[in-house]
Amino acid sequence: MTIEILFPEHANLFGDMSNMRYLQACLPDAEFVRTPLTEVPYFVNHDVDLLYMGPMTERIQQQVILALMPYADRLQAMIDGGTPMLFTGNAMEVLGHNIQLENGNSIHGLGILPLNAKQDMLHRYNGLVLGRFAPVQSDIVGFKTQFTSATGDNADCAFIKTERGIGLNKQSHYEGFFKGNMIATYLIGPLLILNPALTRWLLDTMGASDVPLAFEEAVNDAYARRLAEFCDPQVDVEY
Amino acid sequence: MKRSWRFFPALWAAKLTTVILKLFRRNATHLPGLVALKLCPTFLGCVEKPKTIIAVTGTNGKTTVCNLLDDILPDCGIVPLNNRTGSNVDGGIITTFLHACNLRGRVKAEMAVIEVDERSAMFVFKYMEPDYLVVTNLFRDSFKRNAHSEFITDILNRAIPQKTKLIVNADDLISSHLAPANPRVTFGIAHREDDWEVPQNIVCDMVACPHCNTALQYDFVRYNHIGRAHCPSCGYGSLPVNYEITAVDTDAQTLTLRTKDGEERYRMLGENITDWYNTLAAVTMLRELGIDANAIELSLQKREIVRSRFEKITVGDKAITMQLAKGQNPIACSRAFDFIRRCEGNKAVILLIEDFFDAKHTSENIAWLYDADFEFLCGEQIPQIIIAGVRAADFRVRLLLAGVPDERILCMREEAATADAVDFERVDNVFVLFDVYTVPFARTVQERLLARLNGTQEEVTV
Repeated sequence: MTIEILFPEHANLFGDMSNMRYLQACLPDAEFVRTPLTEVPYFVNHDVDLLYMGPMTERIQQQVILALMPYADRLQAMIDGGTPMLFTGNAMEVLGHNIQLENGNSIHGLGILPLNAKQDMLHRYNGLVLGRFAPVQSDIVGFKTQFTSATGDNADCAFIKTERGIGLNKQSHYEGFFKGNMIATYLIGPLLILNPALTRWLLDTMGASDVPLAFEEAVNDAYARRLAEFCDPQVDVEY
Repeated sequence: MKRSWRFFPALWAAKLTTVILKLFRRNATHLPGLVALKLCPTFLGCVEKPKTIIAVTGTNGKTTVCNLLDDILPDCGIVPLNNRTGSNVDGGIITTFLHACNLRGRVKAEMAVIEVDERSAMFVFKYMEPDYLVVTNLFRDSFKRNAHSEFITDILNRAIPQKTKLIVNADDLISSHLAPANPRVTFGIAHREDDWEVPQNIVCDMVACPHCNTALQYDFVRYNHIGRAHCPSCGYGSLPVNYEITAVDTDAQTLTLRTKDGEERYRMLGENITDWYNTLAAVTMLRELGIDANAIELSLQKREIVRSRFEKITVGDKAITMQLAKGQNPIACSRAFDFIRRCEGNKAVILLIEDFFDAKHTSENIAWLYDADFEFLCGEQIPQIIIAGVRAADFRVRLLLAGVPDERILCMREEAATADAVDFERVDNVFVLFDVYTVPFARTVQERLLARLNGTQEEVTV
């Protein structure tokens, strides 16, 4: 089993690399390929069982788009072919149509997702999200911390429909994208650790249905407590 | 800056606010500044300032460096204006100048030492141009406030006035390259035996050259990106060091510095390498002001690390160590964890670092736990890790992923109960890590631990 982590030296903000450390704990025999920004991604010439990219700085985001642009068709084909993928935080924007920068200029994304993002470096959004991930009929809990918001038609292909918290923007109830087996989401942090049902689905999709979740009792306990908090109307979802 | 007509009404209204607050025995350390700012948005630019302004910023250590400067300068005949008792953002800084000036807007102090929050630099430096800016270091900090270190670097690069002389940490590739056109003096600690060849922490924000993306080569790395490195392709790298600690004598408790004037020796304040960096930053600043090395050393002999940040109490052959770790700041926590693992003996660790305010009204974003090096707490010399608060289950998962066996982890709902869970038959030293806002809980735990050790509290079976 091969898992490629794109540009881990840069795309590692907000504790997101913990998702890979957790998968490593679940899949101790899996091969993790860590591709630096200066090299051709492994997925270009090989099949992978999971492709992952985490959040990055706004400066690096532009470099990542340039680095991946030659392989946009390959990425699209992999999504169409059902390769599991996970893009978190502003890594999702890399797949979109464009990003409007703070200075008014726009940069093109890979054009794979119908997503237009807009930076607002003076206002940082921080919040919680509770929503439903249809394939497992399970509640997803997660965190957002971002300078951007986005518009895009994701009503029929959202990662989750939010019950609390925001989607692509403050008016949206649809968070992220779910196409084939690709998940792209603004949620950051230890998403797989926070959501054991999502991780179970991912492992099953990757062909590792016989593998137990690492620290299953502990992650389920933490999930149950967090879910109860997120469902509590007294708990603020923005801060 | 030309004074606005709004200045004096704002000054007098803010002064009146101070009087009213003090009548009600309230701290007047922030609100008067906000009143002044509301009535006169350019108040900070209009108020008279001391001849010399030293600003101190950075992710970690800025309060300690300010405190050192504020304590040592009076011993050298200079009483600086400072915001020690107030906040380090706009309202607090304005309040500092407000309290220092009379009703005619005149300030007597000849020097100011002002701690400045990195994010507030854009506003503060627009109206208060520091002659010197000490930058202790720049790291990832609170995700929700500071996003990432490039965001903060960008703010500082846009905010730092052209005339400001920088006092920067040569061992920090991020902060030492701030405002490249400005004059600067650097400080650093020479290669040590316990340095590493490659980064060891989860977070290292200087892995690739910011100019050409080539992988940086570290000559040595101390923690996170602190160390010395260079780019093999384009020549980018660590700056030469002007004030360098070349030797540390832990027995004699001294730091030996190489300076332009030769070798100097100073008292070592604290056992942690971050304490040495803080002392070095302050000494570098003072030496650049022309203050005599002997005068600095005489004053350092009288100094202690502030009790609220680090305190070790020994009872018989047991010790209780209180250590500020700052929740939501993964680097500060990692430094504390690293310090604990390097201490000898068997240790229990009590974690009181969840966010006090988030716990009141929301659910804390715990992503920062995964940027902090809980892996440093894996060793067999730490048989107990005791956690309290609503996030205890999250800390447990984080510790499990770090490789800590489940049987060493104890989760408590109430902070005070953590003291009763310590097994003194298995540990010699109890480390209580707390956040700025959990000090009262930490003090309660400390008192209960001391009561147990002194035999003044009945033993409770947990």
